[in-house]
Amino acid sequence: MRCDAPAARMSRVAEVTEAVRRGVSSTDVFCAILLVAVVARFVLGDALSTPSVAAWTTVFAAICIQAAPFLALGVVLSTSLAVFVPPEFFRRALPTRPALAVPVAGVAGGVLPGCECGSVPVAAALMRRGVARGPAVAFLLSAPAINPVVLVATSVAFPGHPVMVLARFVASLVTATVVGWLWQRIGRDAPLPRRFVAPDGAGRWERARLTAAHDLAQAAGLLVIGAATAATLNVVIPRTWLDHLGGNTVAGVITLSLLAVLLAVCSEADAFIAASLTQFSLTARLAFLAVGPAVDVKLIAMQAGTFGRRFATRFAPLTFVTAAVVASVVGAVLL
Amino acid sequence: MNSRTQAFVLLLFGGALLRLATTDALLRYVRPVARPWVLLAGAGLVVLAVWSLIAQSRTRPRSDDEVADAHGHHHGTSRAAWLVLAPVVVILVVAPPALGAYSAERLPVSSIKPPSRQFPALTGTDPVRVSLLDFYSRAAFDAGHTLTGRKISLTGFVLRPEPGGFQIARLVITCCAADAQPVVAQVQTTAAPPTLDTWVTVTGTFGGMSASDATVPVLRADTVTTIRQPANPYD
Repeated sequence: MRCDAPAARMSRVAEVTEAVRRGVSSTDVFCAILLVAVVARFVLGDALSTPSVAAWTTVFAAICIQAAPFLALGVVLSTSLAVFVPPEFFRRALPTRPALAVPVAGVAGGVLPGCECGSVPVAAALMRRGVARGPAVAFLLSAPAINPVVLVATSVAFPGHPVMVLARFVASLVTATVVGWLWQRIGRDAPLPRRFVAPDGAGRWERARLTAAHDLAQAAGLLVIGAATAATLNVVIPRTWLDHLGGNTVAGVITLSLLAVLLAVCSEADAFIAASLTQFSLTARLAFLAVGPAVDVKLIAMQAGTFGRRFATRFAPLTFVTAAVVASVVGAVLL
Repeated sequence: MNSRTQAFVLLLFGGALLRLATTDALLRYVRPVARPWVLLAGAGLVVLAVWSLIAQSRTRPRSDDEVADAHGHHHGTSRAAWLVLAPVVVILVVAPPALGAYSAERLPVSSIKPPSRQFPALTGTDPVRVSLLDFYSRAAFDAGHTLTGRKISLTGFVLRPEPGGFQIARLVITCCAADAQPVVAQVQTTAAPPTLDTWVTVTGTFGGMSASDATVPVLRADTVTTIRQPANPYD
């Protein structure tokens, strides 16, 4: 018995070394990150309270917090689409011809009361369920732009110009439809969004849980990249620069379209920012409202992560140009 | 990232949201109307995370890292999920303050359009408490008709000293701190201006628009009281 003890101890030591050799698990990394963060808080205490850094962390936290409920809603929807709604449903609900399905999906986007972060996982789920890419991106673009919450916010922000609500609705729906049609033709070689595969034999609720946890962690992680970018630009660009750029309509449209991409304000708040940019023409401000929900730094990060980088590098410029041009035309006609 | 760590990350994020939603710290970042939604999202995340942890403890333990490797298509997503720890650390460990003078200074001043052009008479006894946004709206879009003859009490943070007083400001937010816009008022007083970012309540009478900037309304101050930052620092 006595001579067995060292052998047992040896085997236990071997077990431990084996565990270490296999590498640190992600749970260990997780704990290490938290520990470093807490220590850094005390080491960097002063640096974190400089006004610019404090403003950055506040804006960063604000975007993440504000987006979290919309993200959660988006994931609940995307999970239901992935697990509970049979693929046949979409085949029956949408016209078979993509040319016709694109505007239908664009209008359908109007019923999802969220901002842009929530519609990315939903659009990805639609594509995985066999919805053609054209209608899926039309939904992706229209959902954050023309839903009732956004339209009411727009009417409140522009009390003197009720036509702004109509102009926004038309500009965003036309943008979504045009990009949907174009993407149906030119996005042919874009790969389907990476999908999460639940293990075989898992029950329906088990699949829902796995898909939701995976989609949520991924979408939230991608949102963080976008929030960090938007917070940086928000703090770095002094908005007072804009005071000198409002004169010319064309320059105004270009300036505010770019600003919409860089600021990445939630589509439910952008109307109030646009209303305050009084030095710009109404058409330029319409461009701000049409571009913002369709393409901004936060969305580009989320789309690149969800649909792949090849998707984002072509889709973002296409959407940007389409939205700016459509807004200019709609503005010239209606405003 | 294995699915256990993923559950921990979601648990922390949900926990951070719940913690915020149950305190006034939430109002440093978003509007009060967001509270129930943040609460719901936080609770949902925690439930999902706990459900995942329970389900995993029931199944046979295994290294999910290896499973993910075998499937091959989880890598990009696993890396992104790590970033969720950033807002968790910012919310729980750094706990950034509300935006103040630094941000107000860098944003265009008082270009806000009031939500309504109806300005009913101020009710209540003097001094009547008016938000800085309401004060500005009544001054700029109604020529201060409803302000004249009343004693007004305004609350804001000190933005900058000026000859003959100082300016106070308040940030107006629509969704979250990322869309903040300042409203500013000029306080005419002989008292020494408090330091930047100090919160004050000023009582006085409406004094027209500033001579130096026609978009800034003036309050001729009788009293200036230093206060603590209000629970909701934004208008």
